[in-house]
Amino acid sequence: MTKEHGLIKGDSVGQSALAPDMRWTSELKRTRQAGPSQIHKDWSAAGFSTAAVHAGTTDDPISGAVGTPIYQTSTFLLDDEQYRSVEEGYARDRFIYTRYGNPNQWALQTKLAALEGAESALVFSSGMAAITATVMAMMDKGAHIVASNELYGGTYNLFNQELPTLNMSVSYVDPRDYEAIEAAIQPNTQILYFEALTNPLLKLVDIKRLSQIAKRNKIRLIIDGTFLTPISCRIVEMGADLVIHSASKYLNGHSDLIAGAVMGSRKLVDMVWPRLLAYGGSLDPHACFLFERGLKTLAIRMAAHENSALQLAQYLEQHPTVKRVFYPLLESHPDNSLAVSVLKNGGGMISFEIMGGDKAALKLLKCLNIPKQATSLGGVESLVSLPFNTSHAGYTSKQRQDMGINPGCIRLSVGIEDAADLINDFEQALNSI
Amino acid sequence: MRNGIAVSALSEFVNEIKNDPAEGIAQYGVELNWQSGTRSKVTALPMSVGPHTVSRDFSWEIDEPRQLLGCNHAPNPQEYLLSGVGACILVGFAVGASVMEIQLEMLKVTVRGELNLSGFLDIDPEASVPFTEIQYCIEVTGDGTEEQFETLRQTALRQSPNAMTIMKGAAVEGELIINN
Repeated sequence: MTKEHGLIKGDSVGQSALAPDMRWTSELKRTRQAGPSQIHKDWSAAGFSTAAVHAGTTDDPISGAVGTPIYQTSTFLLDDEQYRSVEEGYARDRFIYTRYGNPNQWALQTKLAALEGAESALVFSSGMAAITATVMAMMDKGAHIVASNELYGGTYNLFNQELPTLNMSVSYVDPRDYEAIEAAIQPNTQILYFEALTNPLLKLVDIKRLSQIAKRNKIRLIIDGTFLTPISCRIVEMGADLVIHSASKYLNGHSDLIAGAVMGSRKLVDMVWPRLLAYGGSLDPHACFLFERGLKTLAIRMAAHENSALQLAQYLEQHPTVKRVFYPLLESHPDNSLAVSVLKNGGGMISFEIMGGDKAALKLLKCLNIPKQATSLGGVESLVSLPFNTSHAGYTSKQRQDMGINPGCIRLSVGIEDAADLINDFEQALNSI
Repeated sequence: MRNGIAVSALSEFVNEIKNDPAEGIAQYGVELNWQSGTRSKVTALPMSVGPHTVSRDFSWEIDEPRQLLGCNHAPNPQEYLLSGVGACILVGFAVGASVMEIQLEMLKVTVRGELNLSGFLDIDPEASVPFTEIQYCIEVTGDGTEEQFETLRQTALRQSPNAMTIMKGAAVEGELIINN
């Protein structure tokens, strides 16, 4: 599509703010629009599966091929309109260079925004790229963050090792102690940063309550929603300013790529975009293709994850070798009433604790035939790991116990395998230790 | 980007404020701590733009020349006042130029003022305490016409919050806290 044919190489809704004879800012016409996207279509009335399959996906107009072609290019043909977009600062609305934007990224971003009910989205080359760009976009020199004291290790390393170099600081608080969260806010605090569901004990944070605290104190709320997808809850609609995902997990769902995403208002995502450019964490078009294909089945995958996870959690809860089971939809879960009220899907993460401590847990893992011993989560295959020698290996056993991670704690990402097969496998493994 | 000003983002912000005037409210503050003599250290307080806080991790010093009993270690209050006026006019000029699609090559603003210290020192009750006059000069090179630059000069002055505060004044309210 070229300008000579009256078409824009990019988002035709995003236009110049300027017109001849303008004198001052009050005359500027450009307003924020959702996107950028090649196709602006409202999917808000559609179900999750319909939006997941169709939103953002662009069929090839030349060949008629169904589905978004792979635009494996680093750069795009430039014309006057592209140059103008750079000169006036709306380059995010045009195809110029793949680090800035690419049709495969846009297809994916439009789909993600539709699923989240957000105006805009960005995809990144990893979840950490998404976190770094987003946090830095919302922070100024000398700023302060109030964050969960049970953060994912990668995020904690960013906060603990990198931010102080930039004269930024972080206070860590119990993600469910809302009085402590508000008390930790300082005059220079700019962000509340929490994970929707904590790792590994699956504590569910009350996002609406956090949003109220953020608004009351004139700060932004950023939620890492990796453990919960839009199928479970739309975190932006619940009041978060931005939601971040490690898309390597449920959003892609096949354990075959590394990617990240952020969703939110066009205003804030536009603020993140320059950091994506500066830090360089752009997602390759071929990875976008894989991610888009994975995302199309998100709703049915999450239904299968929940189905198998709930049955397996119920089975484990009654097993005499199992001391405790954490799954949000179990009545025994400390946040079950909140989970029942806000989650449309309980997800596939289970944590449980067995008799015999870490030694017995290690033996159990070796006896399992279906779940694979591997880090990460959210794939179609069940993955199992022990916090003590993976995600929380940097802590002493006392520190882990202070967090509630007791010896024998196992983290299980339940895949989409049949529940009966998983239960049978755990039955034989638990009987073997 | 022309003149380093993102006109598209500016336009979106302008229209956001048209829809929600609260987004256009900016609140500022500085804290001054006396060091000794005429010297003080200033710290910018967190500001807010619309409903959100912005961290301002900046500090600077203010002093007086030796002739005015200082050590001449830093600009004095009048120089900060004049620079605040000049910078504000400069921002308006650069923004206006971008809206008018004028590419600037050079922009310099000079601001000068005169005080009669007899007023401050209360030697002469007829002497003025405020500046008796403030003069500014804008020197510019760019692809605009003389008429466009003259329009820009007038607009930049008229829309400058700091220049207009000087020209029209603002209510000043204060309090005293005595710590014994």
